[in-house]
Amino acid sequence: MRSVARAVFLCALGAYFAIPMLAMARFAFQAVPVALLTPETMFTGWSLGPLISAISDPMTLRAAWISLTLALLAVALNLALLVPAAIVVEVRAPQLRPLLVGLTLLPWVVPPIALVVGVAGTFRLTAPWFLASTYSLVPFYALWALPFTYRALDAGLRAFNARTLYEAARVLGASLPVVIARILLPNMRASITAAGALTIAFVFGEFAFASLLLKSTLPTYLVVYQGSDPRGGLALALLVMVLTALVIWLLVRSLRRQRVSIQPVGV
Amino acid sequence: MRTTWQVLRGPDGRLAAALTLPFLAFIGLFLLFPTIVVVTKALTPDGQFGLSAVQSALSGSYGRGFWNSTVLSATSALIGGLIGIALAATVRDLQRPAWLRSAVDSWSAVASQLGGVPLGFAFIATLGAQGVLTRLFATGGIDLAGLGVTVTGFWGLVVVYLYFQIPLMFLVMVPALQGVRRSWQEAAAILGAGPFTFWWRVGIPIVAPAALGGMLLLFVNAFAAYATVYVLNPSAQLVPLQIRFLLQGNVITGEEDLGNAIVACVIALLLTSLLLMTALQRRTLRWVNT
Amino acid sequence: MPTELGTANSVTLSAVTKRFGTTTALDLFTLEVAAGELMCLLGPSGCGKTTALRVVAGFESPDAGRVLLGAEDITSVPVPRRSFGMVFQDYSLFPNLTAAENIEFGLRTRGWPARRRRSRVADLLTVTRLTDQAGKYPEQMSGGQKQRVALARAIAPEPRVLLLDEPLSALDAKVRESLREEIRAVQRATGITTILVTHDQVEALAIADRVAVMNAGRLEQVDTPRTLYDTPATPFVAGFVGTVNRIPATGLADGTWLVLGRAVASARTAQEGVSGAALIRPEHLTVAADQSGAWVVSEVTFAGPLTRLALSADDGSRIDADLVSTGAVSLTTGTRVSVQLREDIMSIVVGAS
Repeated sequence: MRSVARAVFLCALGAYFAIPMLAMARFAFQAVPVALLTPETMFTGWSLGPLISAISDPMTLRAAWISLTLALLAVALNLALLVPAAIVVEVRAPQLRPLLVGLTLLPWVVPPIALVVGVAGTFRLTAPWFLASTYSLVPFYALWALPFTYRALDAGLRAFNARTLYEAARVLGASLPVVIARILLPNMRASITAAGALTIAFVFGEFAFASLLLKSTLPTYLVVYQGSDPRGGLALALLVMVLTALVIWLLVRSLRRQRVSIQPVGV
Repeated sequence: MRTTWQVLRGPDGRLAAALTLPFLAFIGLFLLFPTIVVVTKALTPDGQFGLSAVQSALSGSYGRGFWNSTVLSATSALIGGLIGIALAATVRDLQRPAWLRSAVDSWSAVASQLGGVPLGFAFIATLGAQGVLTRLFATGGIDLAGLGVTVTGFWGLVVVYLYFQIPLMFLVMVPALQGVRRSWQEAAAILGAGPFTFWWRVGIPIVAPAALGGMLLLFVNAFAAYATVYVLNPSAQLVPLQIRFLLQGNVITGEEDLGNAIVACVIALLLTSLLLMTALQRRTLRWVNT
Repeated sequence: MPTELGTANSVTLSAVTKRFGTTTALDLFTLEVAAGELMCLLGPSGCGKTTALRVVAGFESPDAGRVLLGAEDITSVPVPRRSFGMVFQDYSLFPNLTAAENIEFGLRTRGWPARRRRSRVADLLTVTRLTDQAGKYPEQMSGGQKQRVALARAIAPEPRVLLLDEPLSALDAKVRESLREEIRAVQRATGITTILVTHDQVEALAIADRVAVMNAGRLEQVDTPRTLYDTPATPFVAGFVGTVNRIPATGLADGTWLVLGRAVASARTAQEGVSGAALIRPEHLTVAADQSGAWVVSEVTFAGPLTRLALSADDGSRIDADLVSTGAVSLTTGTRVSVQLREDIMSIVVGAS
């Protein structure tokens, strides 16, 4: 009885998660309007045409290129800021760790829309050129990636007992920069990769900042493109979704194999 | 902050401080400073202290927006939270088939990050006027739109939000449930307690803070969501969309203060939720680490 | 109030077999624990002792064999209905309940009325010297206190059998010793049938009425601590309980063995000319300075009342000898000595050489 209830529950959830994806794929790849969908027409009209024409559009490639550039810049900025801070706090001042945890959680309190209001309000007067550039998105993305980046780095540092290693290396006469470069960074490779991959996945899905600041990135472009070619737009969205899912899935798998557990949320 | 001074004066102290400085400067410039400016402006409309802007932010159509956003977020947090807990509890006792456990784990990690534009599209294709399910139910004589289930309506949005809320809750609850040790269950059993007694007296009290904290997280998550609802119904009376409207149309000076006031209220609401969440999760951690 | 020492609360494992996948944790394991007795299950990790305890508790159901409580077959009685008490290695106190509430937990589930519950909890807090800890949560207590609460919780509902799964191994030496005596005292006072699992032979010898030594899922020997130590039945028991030296022995025509120049009897009758290894405890040797002796003192370890000498022979073989410290003063490193079996040792264990 219990196992039946369990199976029904899991199947219902499975259907809930699968149906929208399948519906999206059908709409994108089957040229049959829903109204005409019958068991006989079920298998007619399928083609990858919309996707192919969508990705061969030079505008698509440009939007994707912009998003990729932004993602890489955001990863670079984020790591440059957080890696030293996370290391120093873990090895030298663990009593300040709660402070860092709190600070990196703050972006969640200020939703993108609120942040844009604040930043636009302050920068419009002092540095209008800043908001005009596409690259003004980079700090926003870096900021929003803080919570999970710090969590990933922190989990990595604790997984290999960074503080003990630091103290051992210091006793052996190594200076802090040497310890960081020769010992800590090589051991943090897994968590740095994780942080980077999560940030990239996030940037490729982020819509609010780009839309509010009127920038053309892949997600905002998707909305525009979908307006002119609904089926191509959905095909493209599906592709982005599948690729994002793939990145996160590979990441989760490789991390589990390396026994680094990342708590994606919470304190 | 004596500890801070000790750190600075210890070996590597200055270098250590120098390494954290860029991070702190960044947070200050892009997060704290703008936030302070917004809150200050919200509290000083017309250049002097007053609550008129905050008042108008919480009344009229903006007040309704706040109410709608809160109800939508709370509903999706509650339902998503309960289903997420049920899923985590179901998977916890699952031994077989082996692949199912890791499939649910991985899918949750993926789905909790989905959302945004593609998710909106997916639900238009499912529950929109031309959606597959809408059509399927219509064939069976059930008019979904007539029942209030459309992707633009309240329950439609709840259904869409659950797509990322359930997996997020699952991710929060799995470690919390793992914290409930098997040996506690065994100790309870040998003291004569069945599963019901165990969960009622021990299991649920231990897990409850994590569950409540998780639901607050879902609330914050839903409140801040923007892209999905933008795609599904850009004219919905929800706080993020109203701010956007003000932001892009702010030519009249009075409206800028109004925008700031709304933002300040959102920040206050979410900050409260987050502090509450942190406190609750501390409590769970303490118990689980015993 | 010691309960009646009938046979009602004896525990019998009868030909129990338990497999996990391809490994056999218990292999036709049979053991009788008399009512009111404190039985230790002793053995190296992975020998099946914990599995045996968990089978008795009902957490594991055996693949074959039966578990009896008195004359009653309880093999398929569910855990909550067995009325047993158990103390776990990791305490397993409920973290959301105070010490008193933890102790009270089993009384509630067994439906004791409130008044009796209160007085029972108060009694146990007194017995375990925890009265001032009553309102504390597990995280606020030390390991020793936690384990005393766990013990009180286990015996509170007056169980018919008490099971202890390595209850002392997470504690430091000092606490371990005092708690060991406390367990023994509580067990004596209540007369409750008790099974204690441990890998620590000192603990087993000190606390148990009888010790069952296990190896690879089977019972090697069950005896009182003294018998077990003095006349181990098998080389495994000899090696696991206490330390032993392996000293060459030669069979004589009369069936005895020649060890260190003396003929001694063994359970294993010798045949003339056969060689074996006598298992001799360090304290069963006498050592005397002797210019023409075969051994040289290579290391001296002072341990208070006793001094351990590590001796090496010219052929490279090594043995240990324990002497009363006052008699070992002159035997410094490098002294040449002769070694003999103590006069009062009448019987030895001989294994394959």
